[in-house]
Amino acid sequence: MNRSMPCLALGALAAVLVGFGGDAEAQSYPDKPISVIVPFSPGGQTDIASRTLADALSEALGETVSVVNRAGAGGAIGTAEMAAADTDGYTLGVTASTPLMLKPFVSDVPYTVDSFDYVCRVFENPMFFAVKVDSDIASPKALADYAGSERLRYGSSGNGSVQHLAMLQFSDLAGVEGVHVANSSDADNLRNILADVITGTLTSSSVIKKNEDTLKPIGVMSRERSPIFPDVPTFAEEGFPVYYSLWGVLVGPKGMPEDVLATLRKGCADAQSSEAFQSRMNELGMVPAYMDGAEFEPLAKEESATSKALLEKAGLIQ
Amino acid sequence: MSGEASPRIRRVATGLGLSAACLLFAAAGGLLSPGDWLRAAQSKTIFPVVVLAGAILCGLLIAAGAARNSDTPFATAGLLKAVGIGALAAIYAIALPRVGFLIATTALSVLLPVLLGYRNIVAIAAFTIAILALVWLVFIRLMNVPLPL
Amino acid sequence: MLNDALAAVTLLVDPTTLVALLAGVVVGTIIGVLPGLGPSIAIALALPFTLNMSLGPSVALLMGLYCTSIYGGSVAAILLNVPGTPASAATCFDGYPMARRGDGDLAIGITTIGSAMGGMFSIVILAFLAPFLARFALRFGPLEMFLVGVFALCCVAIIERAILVKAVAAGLVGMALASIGQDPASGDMRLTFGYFPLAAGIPLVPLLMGLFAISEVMMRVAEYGRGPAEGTLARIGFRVPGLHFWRSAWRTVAKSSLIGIVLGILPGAGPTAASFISYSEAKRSSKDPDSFGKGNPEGILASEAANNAVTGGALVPSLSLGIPGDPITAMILAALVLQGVTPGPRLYTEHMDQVLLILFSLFIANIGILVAGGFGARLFTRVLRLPEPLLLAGVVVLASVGTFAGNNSAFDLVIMAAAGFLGWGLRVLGFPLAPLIIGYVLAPMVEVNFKQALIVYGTDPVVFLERPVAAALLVMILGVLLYPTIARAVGGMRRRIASR
Repeated sequence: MNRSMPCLALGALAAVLVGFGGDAEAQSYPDKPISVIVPFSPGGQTDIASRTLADALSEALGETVSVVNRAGAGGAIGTAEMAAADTDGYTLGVTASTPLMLKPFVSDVPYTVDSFDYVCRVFENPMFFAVKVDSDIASPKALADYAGSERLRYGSSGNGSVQHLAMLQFSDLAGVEGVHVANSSDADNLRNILADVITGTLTSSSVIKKNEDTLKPIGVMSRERSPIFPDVPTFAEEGFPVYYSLWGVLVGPKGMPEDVLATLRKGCADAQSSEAFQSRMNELGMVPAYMDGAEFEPLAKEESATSKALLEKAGLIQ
Repeated sequence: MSGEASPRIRRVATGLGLSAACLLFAAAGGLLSPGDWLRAAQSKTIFPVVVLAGAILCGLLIAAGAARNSDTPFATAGLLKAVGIGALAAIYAIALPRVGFLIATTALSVLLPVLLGYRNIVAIAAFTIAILALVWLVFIRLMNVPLPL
Repeated sequence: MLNDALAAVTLLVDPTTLVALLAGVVVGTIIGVLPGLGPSIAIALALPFTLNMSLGPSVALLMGLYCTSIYGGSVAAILLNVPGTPASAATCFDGYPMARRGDGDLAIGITTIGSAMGGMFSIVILAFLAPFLARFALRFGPLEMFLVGVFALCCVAIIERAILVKAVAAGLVGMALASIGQDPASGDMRLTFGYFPLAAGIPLVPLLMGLFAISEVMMRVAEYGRGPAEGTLARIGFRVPGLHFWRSAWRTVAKSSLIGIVLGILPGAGPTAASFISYSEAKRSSKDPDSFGKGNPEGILASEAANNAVTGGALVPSLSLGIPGDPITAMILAALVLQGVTPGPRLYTEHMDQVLLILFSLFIANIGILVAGGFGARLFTRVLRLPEPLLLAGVVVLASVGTFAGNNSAFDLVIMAAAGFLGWGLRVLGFPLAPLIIGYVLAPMVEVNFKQALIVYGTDPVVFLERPVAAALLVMILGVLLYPTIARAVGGMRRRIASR
């Protein structure tokens, strides 16, 4: 099925360009392939989750949905492209917390949280603090103690990223000071953990699951314990109420036609409830977290406002 | 003027030109506000500032004659032709996604040889068809590159 | 172990797997040979296909693509002076002069054999030493990686000794171009010149295609119609030098493969640094260093054995620690994880069959290089007999389409055109381009690791006493920089002793 997808995409594209596409208005949406922009390189968690969703969405909408990777500037390049795309509903994207919530405040990007129509949330991976598997640190409390007595160095995916912000909040609550060692990829952070350059990093369950031999989760920043690692305490239950997760959301540019958005939202709901999608996500250690776009939008705006206040407090807004 | 003057002038022009270009790059990129980069090694601009300072220094060294033994004879002949074909290539590259690959590629693969004085019509035609087929087969068919026809 | 080997072989001799491997080798070679396309695009294209394949075929496909696409990049470097990836830039030094004097068939032969030998050598090492090597790689923290980057950059001092200042200037220009977009450590934007798309930085492929392909076309246009008109007729096919050549060259192959393996294991350095370091070492230790850069087959061998040995090396941290060293192995690793392979220390103890499947596939893919080179050479070298104007038009078309294919971006084509004029200007004024590209490739690694080393170790030089690897690297850097002086002093001393 996958093999025919790009061919179909091409065929349709060619047909439209040469003028055989017919009157798009007369037919119902969708009548040609849809592309989903992923603002990160192939192989990462957002990419894999998006590909899984694209497969399920193709099934649900009866049209080919293919993934296009547009990496760069921590996800800002691809996210900017989603915001600037045609509003016909044939160019969508899956963006993530950092580019959507935080980048607009810390960098000069041509979009804000208001530049999008929200289709649905795709996944929400609880964020764990992971340390080397043989480390003595075993809980958020122990992490705070360690930070009090020794120099805590933590990794993140950049200045003003979700990880950075969350650790600033934790350090604040614990009354300790950590050293921030930014890096551009999960892999670099893992290396730094194994080479004892940093104590640990905040990362998602799927990354820890893939590296269970070398990493150990010691705390999760969700409200309840995660079913993936039920023995790992939450930061809140040990007295550090910090709540962050790494999520991905399917969006389109602001101003898509009502009926198109409705079709997409329904398609996304069907896709995510499918057996294939659920089992694939499970294998990947990701938490499918379907939420309708209409419901998600106010949450996103709220989180964006909170983030802005936190970034301001941390002096990260230039 | 002696025969020695010309290479020296070129050397000085090359070196100073490099330094000036780097300085311009730094200025346009907003690197020339010392308050920003003197603060700490953690500043995001410290690396390009150091690198560009090094390049500017190299330019001055070249102007002073440090790479003298590398002076290659400077061929002015063909310079115009090179710039012309370079411009043709640039126009082709920029036109490619706009006018489509069929028209742009046909135009280039006919124009470039003809401009160079190559007149074997049969060879040009055969080559044009071959390159169109290759691009279509590999890039459009096999790799699904959304290149407009 | 034997059972695991049997299991791996069983998976491998499955017809689907063999077809996938063959497809990987053929498609990988084609992708590698075409300017602008390389291993990263090959693996990215294959990734969605592997989702619907079982373990055997998908591993075979990926490994076939991985090593042949790196190999293919060298063919374009030799025939057209256009490196398919930065890793082949050092192959241009000697490969292109050889092709120009009519020995393209020999250059292709040496590249093919050198690549296959480097690749196979690294697989043998990978099979026996991977977990050990992975632990060794962890001794390379930010300080060490910074020094590795500086060391690779300093090798330019040996390669381009005659025009040192210009080479250094080119390297610095490359580093400045690399710093456009964002600070690789913090992710903060910088040097975007107020134009948002530049936040992604100057992408590699458009830069490479502009600097090398377009500027090469411009250089050759200027010469066209003057000079000896198509004097030497290029030989067609595939030629391998005789035994007498290998008697002295095996040392270069062994040394280069080792350099490739070590650099492959280290994160972020990769095949570009490996081929440059290995080339400079071959030149340094040669009896006739001045012949390097003028068509010395050993130069090709050094670069090629090293950049293909990186493939095995790069898989070491990916498989035994789960940490990919570069974006290409990151994609391969993602595909393997989706196939149910769990990388990490336990892979070697509990799933040796999977490890062996990967190694065997890689080994056969290296044999595939020989086959692809043997069959393809006739076709590749024929390109040299094309009338020059047609060849140049072809280069422009393929470089442009290849650039567009990477990101489907019109802006990339603008960058390519601009880089073409930059490269041409630099060449006309006598600046070498290879240092520029190595500066560009290594800049992010040097910068990130320097900043992290400062955060972690501070500015106290005592750290060099605590970290022997760093101290050794520092000595090596000083060695490279002071080598000419040392060599002269030693030579002088010898002569004095001899005269006494």
